[in-house]
Parts: sequence; C-alpha cells; structure tokens
Amino acid sequence: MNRIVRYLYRYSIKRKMIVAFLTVSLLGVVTIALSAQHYYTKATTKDFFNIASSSSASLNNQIDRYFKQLIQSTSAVIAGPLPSVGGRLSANNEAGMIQAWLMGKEPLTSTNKLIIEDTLRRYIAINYSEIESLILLKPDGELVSSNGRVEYRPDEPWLHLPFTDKQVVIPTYPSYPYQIPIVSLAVPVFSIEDTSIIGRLVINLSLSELKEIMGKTKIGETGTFVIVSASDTIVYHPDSSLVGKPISQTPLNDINLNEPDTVQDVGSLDYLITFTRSDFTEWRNVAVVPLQEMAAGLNLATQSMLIVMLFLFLFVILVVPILTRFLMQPVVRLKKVIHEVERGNLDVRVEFHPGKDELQSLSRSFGQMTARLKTLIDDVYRYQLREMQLEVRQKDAMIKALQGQINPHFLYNTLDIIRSIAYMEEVPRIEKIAGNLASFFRYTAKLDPLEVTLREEIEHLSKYLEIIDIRFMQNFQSKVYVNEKFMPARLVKLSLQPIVENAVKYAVEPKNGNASILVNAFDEGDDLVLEVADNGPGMPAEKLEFIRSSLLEVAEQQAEGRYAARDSLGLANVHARLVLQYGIGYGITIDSFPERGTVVSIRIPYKKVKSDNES
Amino acid sequence: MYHILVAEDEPWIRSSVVEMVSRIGVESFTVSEATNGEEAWALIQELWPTVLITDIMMPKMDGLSLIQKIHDHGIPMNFIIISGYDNFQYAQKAIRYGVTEYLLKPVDIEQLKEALRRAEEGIGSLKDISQYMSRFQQLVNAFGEVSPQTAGRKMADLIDSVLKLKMINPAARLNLLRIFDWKLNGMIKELSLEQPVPSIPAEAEDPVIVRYFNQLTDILILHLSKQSMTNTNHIIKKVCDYLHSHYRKDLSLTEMAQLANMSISYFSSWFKRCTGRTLVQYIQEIRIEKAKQLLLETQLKNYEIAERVGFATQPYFIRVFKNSVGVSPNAFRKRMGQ
Repeated sequence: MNRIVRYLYRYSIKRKMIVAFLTVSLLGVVTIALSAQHYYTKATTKDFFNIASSSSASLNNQIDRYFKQLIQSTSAVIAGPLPSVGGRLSANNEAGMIQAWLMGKEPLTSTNKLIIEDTLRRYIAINYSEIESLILLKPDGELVSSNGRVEYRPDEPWLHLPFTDKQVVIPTYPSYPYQIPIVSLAVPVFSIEDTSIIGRLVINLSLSELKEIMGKTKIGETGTFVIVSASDTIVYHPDSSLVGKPISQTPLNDINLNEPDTVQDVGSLDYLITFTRSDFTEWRNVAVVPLQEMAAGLNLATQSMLIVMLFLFLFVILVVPILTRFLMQPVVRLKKVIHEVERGNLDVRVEFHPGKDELQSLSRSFGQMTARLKTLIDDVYRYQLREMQLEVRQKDAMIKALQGQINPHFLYNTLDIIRSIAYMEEVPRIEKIAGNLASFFRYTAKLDPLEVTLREEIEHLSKYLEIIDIRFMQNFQSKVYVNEKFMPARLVKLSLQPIVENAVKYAVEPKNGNASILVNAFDEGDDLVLEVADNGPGMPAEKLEFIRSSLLEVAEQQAEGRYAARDSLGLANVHARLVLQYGIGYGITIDSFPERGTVVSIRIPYKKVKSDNES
Repeated sequence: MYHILVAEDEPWIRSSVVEMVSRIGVESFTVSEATNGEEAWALIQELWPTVLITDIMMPKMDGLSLIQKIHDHGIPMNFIIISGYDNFQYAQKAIRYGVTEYLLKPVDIEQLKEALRRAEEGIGSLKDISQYMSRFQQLVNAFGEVSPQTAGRKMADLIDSVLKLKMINPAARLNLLRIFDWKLNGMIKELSLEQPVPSIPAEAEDPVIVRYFNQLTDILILHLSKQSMTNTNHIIKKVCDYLHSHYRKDLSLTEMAQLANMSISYFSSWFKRCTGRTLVQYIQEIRIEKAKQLLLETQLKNYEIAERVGFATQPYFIRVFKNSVGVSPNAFRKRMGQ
C-alpha cells in the first residue's frame, strides 16, 4: 500500500487528476454500455418469447380447428341419408350404402364399391381439394379408397389402429404411392342405428392447407415455425425435404424441446426457441429464431453506445486537461509563491479571491502567514539589535564608570607636566615614560573608533614597549617586524597591545625581564595573521588546553550574543571582540611549548580591506 | 625673523613648549609667552606674531575664542593648537578658523617641529603684512618719545605705503588699514579720550584716509606726551618695585596689569613705552642681574641659582643666561671670579 502511495507521489497532481478523471469517465461509460446491452437483450428476448409463444399457440389453435372442421364435415358423408320411414320411394342406391356396407347389410360388390368410391370422391371434390384420399375401413379388413384400386402397403400407419372411438392424428409421412408428405386423420365411424363402431374413416391430407396456415405466420426476418409431433417427427418445416422425418435425422436434432422459452446453441449459432403444445394433436409448434436476428437491433444499440463512448472519451481527453489546469492553476501559483518563500523572499504577494474555495483560502492563509512571519522576523531582528545595542551601551557605561573614577584630564595633564619638567631638566627617560604613559592612557580610554589601522595599533604598541623597555633596563628585548604593506590593514582597536601585555605578564615578568617578545605579520590567503611570540617559560599542556577551550567558549557565547566581558583586556576579551567583529574563524589562537615560549596569533580578514584601500 | 606666541596656562608645559620652540630654531624667530587667552590677545596687539601656539583650555579666554577673535579681526596669523582633548567638536571649530595644525598633548618635539615647518610655509604670504604691522607697532611704541611732527610724518609715510598696495594686494591694504584704525581707536578708547574724528568708509579717497589717520595720531600723541609728564610715574615705579622684589615668582602680564589697574593690552603697551622693554624682557633682565650677582657672591650651584631667581629649570636658566650675557653661567663665574 505504502509503495503504491509512494509511487503515486512521483507524479504531479495534474497528471494524477487526468488519469483519475479518464479512468472514472471511461469506467462509467463502459458500465453503462454493458448493463444497457445486458438488459436490452433480456427485454428483447422476453418480448420475443411472448410474441413467439402466442403466435405458436394461435397457430396450433388454427390447425386444431381445421382438423376438427374436416372431421365434422365428413360425418354426413359417412352416415349417408337417413332411411325414410315406411317407404322406399326415395330409396337411393347410394344413400345409406356406406352404412349398409359397414354394418354388413350389403356386401361389397364391385358396384357398391364403385358407388362408395364415387361418394368419397364427390365429397373431396365438393369440400376439401387438399384431401389426398379418403379411405373407409371395415374391421374385417375390407377397405374402400377414394383412389380406387390402390394397393396399400401393409404398414400404412392408419391400417393397424385399433377400432376405438378415439380420433387419431397421424403426423406427416410420405404417402403411397406418390410419396407426397401427408397427414392422416383416423376417425371412427359409428352406426346410425346403434352408434356402435362399425368402421374407420382415414383422411389423408396434403400439407397445402397446413402450409397455408403456417406460411401466413412469420416470426422476424429469418425466424421459422416448425411442428413437431409427439413422437418427435417433423410434421411441418418450411424446408419440405425435412418434413416427415424423425427429428433425430435432421439438423434440428440438437434442439432441446423439453422446456419452452430457451436460448440454445444449435450448430454454431445461438437460437431463441419456444413452443406450445396442442391438446388435440399433441404436436408442438416450435418457434425458432436465430439470436442474430435480434442482435441486429442489439448491434444498433451497441454501435450507438460505442459512438457515445467515443464522444465521451474525446470529451474527457479534451476537457479533463483543461479542467485540471483550471483547477490546478491556484495550486501552481501557490507553489511558486511557496518556492519564493523557501528561497527566503518573504516579500511575496499572494493573490487570492474571497470565497469558499479551499485553495483560495489556503492562499489567503499562506499570505497572512508569510506576512506574519516577516513581521515576526523583523521583530526578532529588531529585538536582537536592541539587545546588542543595550549590551554595547552597558559596556560603554561600564567603561565610562571606570574612566570616571579617575579624572582623565587630570591624569594626562599631570603626566604632561611631569614630561615637561623632565624635558626642561633634560631627563629623557622620565620624559619618555611620562609621555608614553599619557599617550597610552589616551589611546586606551577611548573605544571608538571600533576599527583602526594596523599602523595606529603598532604605534600604540611601540609606546607600551618603550615603557616596558625602560622598566626592565637592559634585559628586555622586543622587536616588531611588520611589513609596511600591511600597515593600512584595519583591525579592531586594542587587539594587539593587550596580547603583548599578556606576554609581558606571563613570559617577561617571571624571568625578571630577561626575555624577548617578537611581533610579526604575514598574510595567509584572504587573512592577515599577527603573531606575538615570546621565549618565556611557556605553559603546561593542561593550561594551554584550558585557555583554548575557554577561547572556544567565548567565541560561542559571542556568536550567541551572550558574552559578558569578564576579565578586563585579556586574551578572551580580545578574542570576543574579534569574533564579534569578524565572525567565527577569526580571532586568537594560541600555541605554547614548555620552556621555549608561547605564540599567540591574531587572525583578521585582510584582502577585502586591501581592495577597499586600493579603490 | 618672525615672532611666535605661545599661550598656555600650565607653567611647566608652557615653559617646555617655549623651550622646544627655542631649540627648534632660535635663529629664525623669537618666542613670547602668554599665560591665558586675554594676555595672549593683548600681546598679539603689541607683538603681531605670525604664529600662535595655543592650548584650548585656558582661564579668562580659551584658545578657540582667542583664535576666533583673531580671525574676526582679520589679523593674519598661523595657528598651532596643542590640546589635551582630541575632541571632534574642537577640531571642527578650529578648522573653521583656518587652523591646520592640531597637536595632542603630550607634545612631541618632532611633531611640533613638523607643525612649525608647515606653519612657516604658510607664513610667506603673511610676511609683507607683518612687516607693515611691525613698522606700525614701532611707530605706536614711539608715541610720546618722538615729536608730534616726526610721528605725524612717519604715520603719513606708513599709510601712504600701505595705500600703494592697492594694486598689488588690495586685500592686505584693506586689512591693514582696518587693523590700524581698530588699534588706534582702541588706544583712544583706553585712554578715555573724546573721539573727535568721525570714522570714514573704507572706500574713501587716499588723501582722506591719510588725513584721518594723522588726526588719530595727533590726538594720541598729544595725550601721551601730556600723560608722561603727569601721574603715571608713580604707577610705573610701583610696578617696577614689585617686579624687583618678586622676580622669583612666576610673574604674568595679567598679574601686573591688575596691579597697575589697567587692562592687559594697555598695560603691556604702556609698560613698554615707560621702560622700553616688554614685561618679560624686563623680568628676565632682573633675573639675569640677580643671577650674576649670586654667581659672583655665592657658591650656589646653577640649579639653586635658577630656582632662586625664578627660572623654572636649570637648562632654561642656562640658555637664557647664555642668550643675554653671551656666556654660560659657569664661564661667567670663572671669568669674573678670576
């Protein structure tokens, strides 16, 4: 799951939106298409079944009626004219002949036979031309056919039927001798005297009327009606070659006729199949329609569905990106603005329109947030500045308070008087020491300007060193080797002399002045390094480590703005001021070698100052 | 030869500066000293120095006010300030009055030398003017000694020569005339005389100007010759007596002017007129005389003698002695003692 989410994060929202829109739209379209197809098919099939079964039932009905009428109409012929009571006047040879023969009152003479044949033929001629033949059958085996002297096959289906009062319909079979497909109706003949069964009338019907009935009814373009008998032979089929054959010998063999209203796969095609069963004939009138027939309509529906889908697809392809861009526009704008802010520009202007749009309200909030952030940053900056100024002021106040303890002018004046007397009295050492001391105090007492040239620092240092020189008489030695080209470099005031003072304290004094101090300068990349080296006793490693760590601590405190001046003008103080002025990386480093001496280096930026001077 | 005035209230420092200036170049200039601004102002009107070396913080009148006054009166002068304050406002103000040299105490002799050299370069243009100024001062000093006719003629000559500057240096001409006018009128005012001559415009015709100055001169000479006869004798006697008994002290012009109940500038010129010397010269002479006496009569060491006669230090004493007598104190003792 997470992997999918991560994968999705790799793409822009715009792309994801397009894909999502497309997927949803297309899924919708496809679902509608499929369900429409399904329900349409179902409804059509149902409709078909309804229509087909009612058509089939009505066909059955017609056929039944036809058969019944036929049977009804024959009874008059068979019964013959009723014998007139009491007289023979109206006696007719023909009349009653059939009855008489069947009842055994008359033998079947050739004359009689001719008369009966004639009667039958007349009936056919007058009533139903489609009757192929009428055959009368006496239980003893005598028969009379309208076809005259025809030798019937002993296996004629109607020949061996029992003589019952049941009417039997024999499904289509080829006639003898003409091989025309016929349907035979076997009708019992009753005696007009005692209504006992005296014979059987067989009506052989050609299929013309059946064709007439069936042919009038069509189902769809290619649908057909087929009549199948109870014994599974084909009674009627539009293809006459199949008529009369058992179903097992025809392509219809695969059709399952146990259940009405089914869709069956026959051969390679799907067919809709339904049927109704006649009570009279027990025949099944089967409606067979290839599914394709219906699919024609379905295809149209499918095609229109496809066109709609295509339109939808195109619409989605065209509109979704535009829509997406429209929706994404404020996001993209907001993104740009946020990138600006990320780069530190807090002065960005965030456009927004009032309303309920979440992105607009987000933009508005973001705008307010940046504005607030900016004021906060400004506030913090101002606050820090004020804090720093306060600190500086406090330091100033402290220095002023210290200075206030002695009236500086009184001090300078006195020193100047001493120097003047020394000059008049010609005591150059006093003159020098007093003059230098006055200069020293004057330089030290003022912290501004913050930065001075290296030249000024070295002049100040020289005055200090002259005093120290006098102090230690011949023993002390000091040398300042600084190239003239470094002289204009600028550095924090009072950074060099306190280092030398430190060296005097820790290297020269312990050796009773019997030591040397060496000051030199060199440039290293963009930095200028001033080195104060002494040949004093040096310091043990632990002490060196302690000083180094306290210098580091001072720098960190200074960087965080919470350095409080502790010792007056020691290494830490100088270091703190250098770090404050030039940043971490500048300031003091210290190296010491026991019994050999100590080197303190001051590192300050140089190149920039140089170029400033050149410009 | 030009004149340098040192104004400094601190005696030791003043002395050492004077000493430094002297050591830098005794041959090319003379040095005077003033103990405060007012004194300096009075001396300026007598001595017309070309360079003023002044402290800023001084009683009566501070250095900057002094410089402003000189500047306002158009007196041509170069300035060197020596100050214990490296105060920006002071420096700014000083620059406004044309001060180019600002030295911080303690004054280093090399720095002073350099400053004087630069000041000397600026003197060139002032030389002509100071020449007229000293001629004028000599003339004024001689009032009361020479006859009114001589003084009148000399004044007319001087004014004439100044007027001739019209083409060469009109600015200097105007300046000089204005200073003369101011000085003479100042003197008249000091003497509480009636001012009978109406002042004339600077653009007046030359003869008018000459006549104007002659009138002023006449008034002054008339009064001064009258005055010398009358009541000033006892005042000068009082001052001189005082100097003779107090030469050991650091005697200042201010102090003496107070004693004589005169303004510093009037006292200064009056004293010179009476004695023919400046106050400092007069005191110096007394001290040298006393020193000579001590050298011959006692076995005191040089530094003891210097202290007794009022010289600040032995080297100073020796230098001054040498300057005035021609030999060092030791040589003098040796030679005279033999």
